[in-house]
Amino acid sequence: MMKNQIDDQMTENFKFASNILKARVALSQIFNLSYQYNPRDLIYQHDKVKLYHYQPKVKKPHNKPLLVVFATVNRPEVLDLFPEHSFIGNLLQSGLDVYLLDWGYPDQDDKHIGIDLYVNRYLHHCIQFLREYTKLESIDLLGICQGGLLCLLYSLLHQHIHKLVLISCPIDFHTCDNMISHLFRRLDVDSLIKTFGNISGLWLTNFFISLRPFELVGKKYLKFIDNLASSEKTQNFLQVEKWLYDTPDQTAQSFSELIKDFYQENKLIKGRYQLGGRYLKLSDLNIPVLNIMAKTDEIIPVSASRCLKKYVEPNLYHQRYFQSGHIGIYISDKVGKLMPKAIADWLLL
Amino acid sequence: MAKTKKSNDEVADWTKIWIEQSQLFNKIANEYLKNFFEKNDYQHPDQHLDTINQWLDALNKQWQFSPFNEQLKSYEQYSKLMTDMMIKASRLLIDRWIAVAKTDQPVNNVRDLYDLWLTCCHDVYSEAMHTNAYQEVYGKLINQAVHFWKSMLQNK
Repeated sequence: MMKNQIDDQMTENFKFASNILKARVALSQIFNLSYQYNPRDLIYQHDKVKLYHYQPKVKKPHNKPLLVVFATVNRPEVLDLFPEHSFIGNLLQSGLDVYLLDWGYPDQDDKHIGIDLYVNRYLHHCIQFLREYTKLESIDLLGICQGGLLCLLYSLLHQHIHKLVLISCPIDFHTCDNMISHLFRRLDVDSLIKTFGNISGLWLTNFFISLRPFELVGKKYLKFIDNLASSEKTQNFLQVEKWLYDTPDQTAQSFSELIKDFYQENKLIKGRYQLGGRYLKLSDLNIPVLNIMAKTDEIIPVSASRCLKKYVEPNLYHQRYFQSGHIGIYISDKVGKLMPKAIADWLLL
Repeated sequence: MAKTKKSNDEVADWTKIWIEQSQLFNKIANEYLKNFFEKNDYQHPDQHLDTINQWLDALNKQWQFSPFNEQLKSYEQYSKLMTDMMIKASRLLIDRWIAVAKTDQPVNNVRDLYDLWLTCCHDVYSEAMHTNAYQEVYGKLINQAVHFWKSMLQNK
């Protein structure tokens, strides 16, 4: 058979089948990838929790340090996945002095760690250290997703926060469009942690994917094979994919509290949430707060975050929306520069 | 350079599922619809509904689960819900396939058909997830799975 005849028979259907095989080979490269970071130094460690200081990118960075606190679910590397144009990189470019708290990978020795220890021991000690390190009375705090909730709780209990930035922070867990809440409300969490102890990070990732499997698996990989010819797009995809499956386990105690106190009983907005021996009231938040929401976030819908406005003095409360999803807000080209700049502008005011 | 915690064996279940499932889609589509996407001989889906239905029957067999024991009864309810959803998605696929055939962007190959099928599945699944029925069954499924593993571990 002549070569051109064979070429003619290479229909789109054949290409599709062969691209699926190419995708399999490309995806197997994930484990050869390593994370890249903007230059940073480890300046403090307490058990598995680490505090990093990023090298400033401007000669005279803002004099107030900004501590970034990611969720314990997933890794903070997503904030610096492509260092040249990452969320962290753009905060540095905007003149901020950036620190990052890394919760690490809890194991069975940590199963007793609950929200109280996360807030009043680990976060508090990092902030105490940072205040001493910078010789400043107060710092700025930026909390992301469940990390935002921990930062909010901290700010309600302690006095060392100058300004608070929250991104996709869940506050009202019982809004109609909160699918995770609908599903978690039926979860027998006591049996779950009694059986398994800590909650597998992979189990949680699969749970999140199961909310939109045809998009987050089917469509995503279809787009991936469409772009296989571009090595840059392929590498970027694999980097995100590597991050997606790099999932720390959740300590039994903190997961149980998150599900019961927040997802099931919604205690915080009811004024029935107790931490460090105190009932916390959202209306006690008396520092400037910037509440950022991703418009198409399905993990923490806008409705779960925007209610904060009702509880905070109008002159202290600011909010911003970005057209993005829960993770896209950190890695999308569109929002990539806009959000860090908006944060820097507000902090530098 | 940071090391990640998960090993190769632990991750990418969804990747495997997708590769297997997309290969299966491709195989079944080529088996039943091999003459559909010939160049210069476009077949209108509404004129071949019997063939399309045969293809969809074969495709939807992948959602049929094996029988379950009493302890995992909720799996059966869940799989029934999933099967119903797939039937609904299949009907939606035929309607949309016929509809786009009348536009300047018809389905031209198996890849496009797969894309359309995923969209239909997503739309049906998203709608179902917001119903009480789905949430009830999903809750029971997770809780019963936990109890199942608990008893397995206790019997170890």
